[in-house]
Amino acid sequence: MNYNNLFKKARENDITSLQIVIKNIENIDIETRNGNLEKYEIGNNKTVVFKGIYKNKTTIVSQQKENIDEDEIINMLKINAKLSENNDKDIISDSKEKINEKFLNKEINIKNVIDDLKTYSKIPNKYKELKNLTLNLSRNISSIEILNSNNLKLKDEHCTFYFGVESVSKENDNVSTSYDFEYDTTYDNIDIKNIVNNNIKDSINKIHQNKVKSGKYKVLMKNTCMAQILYYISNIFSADNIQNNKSLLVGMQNKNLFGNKITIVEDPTNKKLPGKRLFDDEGVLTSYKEIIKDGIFKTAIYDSKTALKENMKSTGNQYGNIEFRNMYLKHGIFSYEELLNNIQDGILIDDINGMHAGINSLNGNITLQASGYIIKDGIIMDAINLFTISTNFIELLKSIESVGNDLKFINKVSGSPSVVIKDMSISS
Amino acid sequence: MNNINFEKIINETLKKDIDFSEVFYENTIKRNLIFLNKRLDKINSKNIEGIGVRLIKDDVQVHASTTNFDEDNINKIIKNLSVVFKDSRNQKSIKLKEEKIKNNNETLYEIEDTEKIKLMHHIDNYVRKLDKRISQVQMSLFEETQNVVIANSNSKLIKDKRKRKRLDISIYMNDNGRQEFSSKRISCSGGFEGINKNDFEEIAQDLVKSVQEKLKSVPCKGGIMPVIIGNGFGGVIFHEACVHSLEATTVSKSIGPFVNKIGKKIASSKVTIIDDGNILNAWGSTNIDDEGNPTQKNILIKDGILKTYLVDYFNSRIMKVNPTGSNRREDYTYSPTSRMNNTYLAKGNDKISDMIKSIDYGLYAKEMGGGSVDPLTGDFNFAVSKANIIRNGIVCEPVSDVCLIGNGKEILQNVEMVSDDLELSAGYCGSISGYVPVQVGQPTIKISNILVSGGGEENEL
Repeated sequence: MNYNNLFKKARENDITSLQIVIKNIENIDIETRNGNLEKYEIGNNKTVVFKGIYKNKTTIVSQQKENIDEDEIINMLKINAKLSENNDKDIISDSKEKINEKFLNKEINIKNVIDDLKTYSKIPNKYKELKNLTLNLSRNISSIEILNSNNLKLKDEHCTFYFGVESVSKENDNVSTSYDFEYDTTYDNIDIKNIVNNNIKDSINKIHQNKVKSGKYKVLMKNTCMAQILYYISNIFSADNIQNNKSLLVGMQNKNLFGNKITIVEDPTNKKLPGKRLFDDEGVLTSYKEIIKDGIFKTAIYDSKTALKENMKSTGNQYGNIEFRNMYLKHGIFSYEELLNNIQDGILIDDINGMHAGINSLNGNITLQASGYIIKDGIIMDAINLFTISTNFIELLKSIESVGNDLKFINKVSGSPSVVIKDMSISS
Repeated sequence: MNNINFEKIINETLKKDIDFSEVFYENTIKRNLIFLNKRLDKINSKNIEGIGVRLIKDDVQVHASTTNFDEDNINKIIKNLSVVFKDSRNQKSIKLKEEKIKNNNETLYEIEDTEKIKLMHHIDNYVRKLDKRISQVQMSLFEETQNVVIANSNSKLIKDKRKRKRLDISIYMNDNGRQEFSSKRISCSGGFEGINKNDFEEIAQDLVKSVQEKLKSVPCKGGIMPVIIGNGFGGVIFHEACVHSLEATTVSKSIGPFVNKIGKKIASSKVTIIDDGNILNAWGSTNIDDEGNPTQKNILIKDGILKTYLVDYFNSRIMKVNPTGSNRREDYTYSPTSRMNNTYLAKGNDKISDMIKSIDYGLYAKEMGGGSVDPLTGDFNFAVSKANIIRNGIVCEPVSDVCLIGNGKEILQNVEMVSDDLELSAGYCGSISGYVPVQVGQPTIKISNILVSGGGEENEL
């Protein structure tokens, strides 16, 4: 497609501003099970998003295809603008920055990776209870290019490797599963052997799971679980939701809501993290920011349109919707072992489920299925499952008494260290 | 689509020693009108065009997807994909023959965008008059037309067109700082008549009543207790707790609660569960599945006895059974696998009033939210979006933030009563082949005991 032509046609058709975002996702996905190749997938797919301002109305059309018809795009932009009843002011970036970032160290030898995964997914003879061992390695290369009618030209590329393991153990009628994963920007950094060994032991330990008595408990919540809660509730920080009365943070800016141990930040420019982006989908440069500092809700996250409503600048968080990249609970000083050793009577929660339905971003209420272990005198004891946790997001953060230093990311949006929660309601 | 030579691509794949190959082409138009703040706030429109190429040899399946249809690019993709296979010694070539299919999903009429916007204004105006505490009304009218072409090494070429529509209505209320909301989803395959046939004012009144009740709800004290689950989306309990574990995706690995249980009694005799891809104009219906096999009505469990799994072609080879027309994928970027279409518990004869009278202390879960399951263990969870406590056979105070958890094997045995008010409700199901539109459904049922979560103390009368 000739983008210069498109800018010219846009001007001729009264589209006063035009922004083009070209995304390319190249992915490889390999899965082995019990020593055999199960899945090998490759993808190379392009999506182009056109944003125009036509007669003061914002209009967006996207195409996930190669052969794009310029006239069709112009036509759709105008049709959508004419129908829209939203006259909110909007702008496209007039930044003069030029970025052209390439990612190094993204190549892998597919055959070697398949052989590695086959080897590590063979079930070791010593584990009689282990029935299924599935390993997954994905490489995702995402590139983004933004052009606009203000001569913006930005280009960025990022590569992330995801390694996942699932083990299934069985004894008589008792079946247990355990999952673990790791993100890294370099394949060689992933310690597959260690992750697999720990995962196998975990699933075998969980074959015999007990019930836990209902009540309030001190909880050590594992980093991945805390990161999942942050991920699923993160839309409360979107200015779009706050401005439209769809968030529990309406009217809460600068209020001390969360307890002084809590600082939540966003770090999108960090190249070592899975969600690295140097600029958002509007070409606004991203930056490190404190969302909650020492318990005080400092800022929502904005795109251009929502920022204009409050006479401020975009925070560079438009990615299709207003979202985070590399948001996390700032880590503390305690190792995971130190957090564990300091619990005399409590519960370790190392798996939660039901987040998409059990987390309410309107009132912050959280009700989830959980599993984990009993902790007694700092030692992990019996495995427990099929219990629920009930809390509220604000109460949850307020009752965090210790924060670990084992920060881990679950996806490009959020991460967390492990935390100790003073008391949490458990039902079983 | 005109520049894709399906036959050439298939024959290129046959240079490798494989058992089966397939090309899945898709051209889809999606459009979403979002109504918020008393106006048409945003329009999202998207056109997707791509192909997926799938190869199978023995029990290995590989897949590639691209938006670039250049011959060089496709050959390169096939070459990269086939690194795991040897070259064929007896290279075949095939000639594709188009099979015509019957269109089971009618379209009577469509309406202009301006009429759709008028409808949303009408609903918004009507709703806001029902309660002063309404802080926001959001609607989203989603429409999708998916054109697919499927060609495979069995010389089959088949085309299908799928049209779907969904109207989501959400109402938010703020009562002195306490915020609650309720949502309703109306959906169909086919024309706009599937949306228009609904009584929007009745839907609006029900939604407002639902939020009003939620504003009065109190935290629930958890524990194991009998539960009545309302009809319609209540069927998510069987979708999660049972049928995911009947998908060949899980069963073919020989792990899962219902492996090797065909012909065995796995549920109460009150339980008959059906998955049907053929229900006329239903949200989860298609004429053919995503590998070109006709969809069908699959009776999965009859009177408690397991009859069949949901099986796709690849897993049918491993399990040595016939496919059931259940192969689905979100789009061309995914390799397909066995999934559900429209899944429901069949009607019974019990009365809802008898269910309520039979409970000394329990829960009436009138509306369910979503849920999830580990299909390997059968452990599941569901959010309950609207519920009341039952005491001494009477429905009492509404309770909030309730979750039901348990294990699929146990819950099927605990279905004690089944009413006759069957309804189906639309949703999306996420799994390894992406998000697919599905319906779940059931009549009102009573489960003899299930774990109910709750952070509350004993509820006061």
